[in-house]
Amino acid sequence: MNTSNDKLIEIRLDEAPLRLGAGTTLAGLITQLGREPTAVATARNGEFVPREARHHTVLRQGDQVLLFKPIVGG
Amino acid sequence: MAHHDLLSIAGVPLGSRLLLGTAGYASPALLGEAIRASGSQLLTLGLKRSVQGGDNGFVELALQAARAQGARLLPNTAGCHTAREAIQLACMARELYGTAWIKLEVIGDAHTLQPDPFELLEAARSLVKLGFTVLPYCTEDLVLCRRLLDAGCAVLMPWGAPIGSGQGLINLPGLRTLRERLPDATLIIDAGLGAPSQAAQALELGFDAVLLNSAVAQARDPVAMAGAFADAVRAGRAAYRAGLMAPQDFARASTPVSGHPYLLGDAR
Repeated sequence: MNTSNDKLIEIRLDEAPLRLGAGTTLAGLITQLGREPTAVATARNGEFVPREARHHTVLRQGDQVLLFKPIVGG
Repeated sequence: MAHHDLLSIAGVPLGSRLLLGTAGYASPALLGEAIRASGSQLLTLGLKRSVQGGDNGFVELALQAARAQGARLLPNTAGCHTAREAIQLACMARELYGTAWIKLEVIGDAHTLQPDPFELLEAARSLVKLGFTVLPYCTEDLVLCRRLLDAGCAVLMPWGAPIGSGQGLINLPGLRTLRERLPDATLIIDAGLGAPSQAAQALELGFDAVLLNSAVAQARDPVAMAGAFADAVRAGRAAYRAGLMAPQDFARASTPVSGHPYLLGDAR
């Protein structure tokens, strides 16, 4: 992660604050989290972001990112 | 079940009229066995908002069991309260599960888990336009159901009773009316069933299938109960096709004794 304050942004990941290097994409975030890209679905600011769009979705200061995964259900 | 009497959803034939939920089982192995015993060809799953934590293998077991018996997956939009939320979640489900079939749930009341008809209809219209095969969890309201069909929903899934209540078909007149007024629609009772007899009743009334979860998952022996529901659904469908007798207000003797009793030993 970048340690220079002027190159950091703060997002909220699953409602918890997270600092990232400026310019980090959604795909980059998934990699940083060590998640398998096909194992999660993503949303930014309440909007679904398709898998193929993650690599050009640059995260901005204050973005709210949510990850979803499969679970059992009725 | 006879091959000419298969349930069909969006042109896809399914060899079972029992749709099974995958939640609430004591172990993944038990879930897998229950799926097998049910013979279900359509299994519901969900999505969870979470970064951390696993699921102890439940989803993988469900997917394995589905593959083993050729069952399709039906992800849901559980937990959504607005059309907007449901649409976003449906898109994520399509990506994660690789199917455009969606059980559309938009809840309007947290206590009864009653669907919100207005948000449900809005979401259904949008999702159909986005290419989804929409299976909406709805009430038995006839006008709402007509609107959902007009929106392009593949089937309708009216509740029998509130989710997880196990009360069975609590509005029989309403459900009968729905079946009578929408004779060409595929109708699936979703939610509220607690006993195989209630599932049989739904099929006897002419409903095309049932979807249940808690009744199996919460049974003392979920695997045996899954089999019991499969039997009940088959029996209910067979009875519907055979044609139930018309109920009557008065007794009618079933033994043809010509109406004259034999009066033996009557000296008078």
